[in-house]
Amino acid sequence: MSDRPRFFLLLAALAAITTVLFASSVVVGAAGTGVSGLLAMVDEGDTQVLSLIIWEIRLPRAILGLTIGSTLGLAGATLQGYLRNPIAEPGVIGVSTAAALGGVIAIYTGLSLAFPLALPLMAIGGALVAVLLLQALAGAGSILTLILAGVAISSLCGALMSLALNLSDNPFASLEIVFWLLGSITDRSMTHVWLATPFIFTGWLLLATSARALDALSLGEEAALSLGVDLKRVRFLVVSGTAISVGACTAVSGVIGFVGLVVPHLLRPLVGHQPSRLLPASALAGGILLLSADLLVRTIDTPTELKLGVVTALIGGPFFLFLILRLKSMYGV
Amino acid sequence: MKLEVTNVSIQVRHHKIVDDLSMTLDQGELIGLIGPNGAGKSTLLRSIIGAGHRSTGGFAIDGVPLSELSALQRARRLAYLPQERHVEWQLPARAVVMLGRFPYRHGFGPPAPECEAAVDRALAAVEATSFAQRSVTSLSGGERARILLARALAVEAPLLMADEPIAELDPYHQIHVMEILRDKANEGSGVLAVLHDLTLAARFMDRLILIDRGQVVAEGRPDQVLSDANLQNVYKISTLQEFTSSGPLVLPWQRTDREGQ
Repeated sequence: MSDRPRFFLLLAALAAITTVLFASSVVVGAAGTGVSGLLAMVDEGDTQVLSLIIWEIRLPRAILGLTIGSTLGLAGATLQGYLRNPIAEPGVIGVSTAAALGGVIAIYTGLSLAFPLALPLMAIGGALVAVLLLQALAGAGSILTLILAGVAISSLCGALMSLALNLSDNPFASLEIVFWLLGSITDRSMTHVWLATPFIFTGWLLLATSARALDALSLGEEAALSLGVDLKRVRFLVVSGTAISVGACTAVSGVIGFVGLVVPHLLRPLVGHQPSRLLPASALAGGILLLSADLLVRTIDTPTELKLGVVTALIGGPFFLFLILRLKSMYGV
Repeated sequence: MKLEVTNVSIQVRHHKIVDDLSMTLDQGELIGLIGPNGAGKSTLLRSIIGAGHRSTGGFAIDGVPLSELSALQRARRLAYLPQERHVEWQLPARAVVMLGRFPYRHGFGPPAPECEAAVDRALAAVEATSFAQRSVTSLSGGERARILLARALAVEAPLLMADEPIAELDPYHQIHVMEILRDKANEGSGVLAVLHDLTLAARFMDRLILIDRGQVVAEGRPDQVLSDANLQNVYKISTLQEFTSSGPLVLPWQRTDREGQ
């Protein structure tokens, strides 16, 4: 089709922006360690500090910003395509809340103090439990059952997190829980990268495998079935792929909302509204959005550093309102 | 190719929607599946493509049970046009028709020339080439119905089932869709359509299957099936009938079970 070159051009442009932002993310930083600061260190021959900053602080942060943003964009696009709903996002199936609960339990029990990796590990565990629950509750049911199961898991996990905050007699632990829940990729190490990326990449693979079926699903489940789509397999790919990748993201960053909602929505007209093409475009754009938000967080001078999840919600909330108004004027609902 | 449905029953909770039903669809014929609301027509069609409730009995194409065919093999032999006419995204009409080639495409490469040719043929068959580049959500109901029919035609399967293909269409488009199905059968495909319009069913169909409460009540030429007795028993209506030079004319006229009569 004639619009293929346009699609590849879009992907190339997005990839170029992603590269620039990734590089900036490695170079830009707190006062004294910006571009000029880095050059000064090179001049002074202080390369050890330099490499420490780059490899231990900046690079993990840039890699996590890119992969987490991409995951949220990709999972959002897949879920919107699968659920045939422009306001779906990874949160609707409850995996991010379940992962967050895992993390909260790690902090609450003090496990994360004794063993720092307990937090991401328990969060990934939480996401995996959520997948098992989702498959058991709605493995062969309708899409409505899946969404209801997601909402149920999400509210239950939310309630349990509130319970943990309520019962916590240690104000520091409470504060830590609240801050962690706000979502951030500050002070993460390469260990976090090694821990999360295998899960994230596995999730990507599962999600990407569902792409072609998503196109057929634009016609509805029955038509897709008649065209040879294996609906159970697609559901497995979408639910597990989202849970594994988004769960791993939540495990290292806490909850970062709205990226999965906003990004696919903005990109859809640019890919000719085709669900399969939306996946790679949203993955790249998700990375772009999160890297930019993280750069913003780093450069804005606030008394305490703004949390990434707060910034994305501040961008996403008004966008969501705008979306509702636009849908309202489009369909008159 | 021949679709055979033998002794199929479909039970939902304790209610039999389809009850020991048998029928066939052969190449070159246009069959109308008729019956009142809730007779089990759509349920039967859905179960043939493997959707909906569990069924007992046999579905086979050329003697091979459908359960022994892979999903893609079945999709290439039997195309299905659901009643649902909603397309979620603002896809170009041509991209929607191209989805009919799904069972033949792999990976993410550009469509093969055969696929493009099949899409061109399907668009020409429904006379939609002129608006093929427009977004499907911007089309009128009649245009969208034609595009979705073209999607089913683009599969180029030897068998086609359409669930209420003319519901909610104006007379022009009703006749247009019936003509397309007629042409498809004349080209050698087996076409089965669920219909509520008895007038058009009598005019266009080779054969009618009348079902009521999940069972076949009558089957045969339209003038045989649409007899006063059958219509009175199944639909509780009387009709005006005339045999014109261009075919039978059946016009539903009155309910026969009106209270107070």
